[in-house]
Amino acid sequence: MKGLELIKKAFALEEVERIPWVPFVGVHGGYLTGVDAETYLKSTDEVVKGVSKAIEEYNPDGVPVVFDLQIEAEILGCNLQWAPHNPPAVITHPLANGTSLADLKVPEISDGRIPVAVEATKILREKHPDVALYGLITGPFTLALHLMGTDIFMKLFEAPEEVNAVMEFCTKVGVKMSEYLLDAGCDIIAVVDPMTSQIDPMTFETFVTPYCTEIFDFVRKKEKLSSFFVCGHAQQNIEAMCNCKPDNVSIDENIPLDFVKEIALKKGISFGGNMKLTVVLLMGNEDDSRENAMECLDMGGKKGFILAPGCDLPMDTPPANIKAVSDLVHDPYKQDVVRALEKKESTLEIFNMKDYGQADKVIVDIITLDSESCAPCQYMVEAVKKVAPQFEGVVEWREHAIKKMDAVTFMSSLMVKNIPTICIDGKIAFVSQIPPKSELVAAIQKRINAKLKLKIQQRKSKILLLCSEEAECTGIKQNIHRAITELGKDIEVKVISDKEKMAKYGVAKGPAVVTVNYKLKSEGIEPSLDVMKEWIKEL
Amino acid sequence: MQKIPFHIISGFLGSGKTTFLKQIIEQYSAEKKIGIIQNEFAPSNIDGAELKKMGEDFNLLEINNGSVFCVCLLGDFVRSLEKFIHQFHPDILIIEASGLSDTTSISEVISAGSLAEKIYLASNWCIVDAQNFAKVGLMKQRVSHQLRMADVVVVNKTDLVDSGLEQIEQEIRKINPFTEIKQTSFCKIDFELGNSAINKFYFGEVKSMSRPDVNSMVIKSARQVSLQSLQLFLSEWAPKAYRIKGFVKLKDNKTVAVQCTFDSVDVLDVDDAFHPTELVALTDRFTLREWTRAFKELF
Repeated sequence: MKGLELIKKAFALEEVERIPWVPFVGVHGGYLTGVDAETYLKSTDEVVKGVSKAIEEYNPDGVPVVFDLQIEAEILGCNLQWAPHNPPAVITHPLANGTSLADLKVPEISDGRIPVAVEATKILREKHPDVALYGLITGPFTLALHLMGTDIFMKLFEAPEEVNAVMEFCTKVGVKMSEYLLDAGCDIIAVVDPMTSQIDPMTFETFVTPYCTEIFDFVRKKEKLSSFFVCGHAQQNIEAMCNCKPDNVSIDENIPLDFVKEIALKKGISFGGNMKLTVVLLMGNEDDSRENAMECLDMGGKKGFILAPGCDLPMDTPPANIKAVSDLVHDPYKQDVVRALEKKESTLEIFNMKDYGQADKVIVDIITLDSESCAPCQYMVEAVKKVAPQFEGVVEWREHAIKKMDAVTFMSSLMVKNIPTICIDGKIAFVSQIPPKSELVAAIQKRINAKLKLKIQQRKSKILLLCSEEAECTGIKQNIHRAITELGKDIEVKVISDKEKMAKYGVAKGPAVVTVNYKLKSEGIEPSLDVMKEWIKEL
Repeated sequence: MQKIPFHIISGFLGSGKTTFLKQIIEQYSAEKKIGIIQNEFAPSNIDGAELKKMGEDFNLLEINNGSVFCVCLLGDFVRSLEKFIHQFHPDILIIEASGLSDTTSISEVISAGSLAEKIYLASNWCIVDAQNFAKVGLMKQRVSHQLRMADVVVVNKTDLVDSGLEQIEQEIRKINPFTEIKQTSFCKIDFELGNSAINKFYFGEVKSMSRPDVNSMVIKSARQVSLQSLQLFLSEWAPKAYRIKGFVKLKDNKTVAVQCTFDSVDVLDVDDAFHPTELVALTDRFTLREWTRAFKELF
């Protein structure tokens, strides 16, 4: 099913076959195309390029067009400080610096950077008719904070009428912005009001509820969908947010997803979130991202849930992490694997693999999800299968599909982190990529050569000649050398004439001949106690 | 290289954070290289300018672009801080976090990734303005998540109120029963450069004994645990940590405050319906990964 339809279904609380996914790509779009945040947010072309790239890379069901909560504020007279890796920050607040509310006008469609968002929406709408487009507007409370500065918090108590007047104005701005974006082609209006996390439910109901409700009502009248985004510690306000009657609420990692799920579904509203932005998506790796996404998917469920990061993705979030999430969303099989790994990891008993790969044969292990249902795994297994017979029985290969518990243990024991992986005699050789035939052959040959070399080095022999006086054994010595030459052997000959040393071999009087076979048991590793015992038994 | 202690000083605008910082700088800048991080939301830069005027020797990292009030913007904070450490090699780091900052997220971010190899969370201070705290009880929502994770709460400007200090202390204790509370005016209080929990441990040991590398770490979770399994968990991990503290959401929807130091584990009921589990540990004997895994096994 196409993204937009899927999202509409989720918004309508219908059971979906796959949970829809909306990566909040803001300035991260600029990262994908190689421009800084300022260039990106000021250019229709760059936004179109960035969002298109994100659609191509992340296969989303919906995307925001522009994620910037300063567009309205800038037009209304707030000074912005631009940064290369972030959306800009508001640094001055007109209503705190002498401007009066009466002087502020609701922005026109041609003001400031509104055309960037509107034009980008039109182009993206045409290019990607099946992807849900989110039009983001600054929530009225956050916009009021931009206009008034932190004075707003004191004024909530000291001058409530003043705050109400500002909120009324910000609501008008919000309705107008929604209209511009919906008319340009957005499917969903997201009212992003993070600063509401700073107030308690009572204040929320007094100063936020009437205003946000008005915006959501307007969107409904336009027969489009709406979402209420909040981030931070806003758990206390979730119920109040739902009471504003948006079609969806979206939250970040600070609020438990199951908590929101319970309230939202009870109120007949869909919900979304709340992958960890910084510690997982930005600073973590693909495994961390998958694990976190899986947790959200399982908690959210297939009714009324949309998987999304908690907020605007940090600009240089590694694309590999977001791709890992996207792959997971689209592949139920991978989801099973992540669940299996997560559950099993903690109770895992690790095999002792210290002496793995010492057998005569070369063992090639392929760790896979399951070559029957995962294409890259299948190709990797095929590659090994084709090459192995060339070595005529010297090479043995095995597949370990980690759907089975012992394969998971085996994988962890070899410290394999990626699927699929080829190990040769217990050492990781090829990760994720299927090696060309020549490389695979070369890698196996190299291991065979190494083993042969070891074997040769292992066998060393010595002949000891025990004689009280050198002259006593000249004849024997000559014969030994002749024998060695005729046999083509590599044997060391040593003469011992010290009485005490001779006694050690149980010889009192020479000449005598002792042959010695040494076998090198190990080199460069510290054999375990059990292995040592086996060696000693042989003696 | 020894890890740099990182201190958080939070509190609402006008509570006295900058005054406190000034005193710390005056007191220590001769002997230590101090790195200050400011993220005042508004009005931008004024405090930074005020600090610079002092003429003392310290380095200042200003985060104006994107105040650290929201987890969305912490990515840039991490990058700036890493650059700052690389450039100035401070002995001590102090962040002045605005009233809008989420101090738990700051703690979490500095205790993860590559920053965790360079710094650790040494202490978390929250400054409360006695005059305003008494005046606007409704503002509690805003200060409460800074208060609940603070090691020390400084009730400042006590000279400006005639009464009600006891009530303020009670309010604070309701939110954070284990915090140390100090009353003062003009932020005249002693500040410890390292972490007091570690300092206590090393007191009386051979002076030259080098301290092992400490890690700070944060667990945030939405899942509820049973009191019994929480106690088992704490009794297992507390002996390996200098300190574990925070709040845990229990199965019956109650919340408990937790404080552990080596051999003691304290758990107290608190009134709180709207915060997830947040636990902070300071240790040199386990990693975040081990700790998180063990915590997950409680469910």
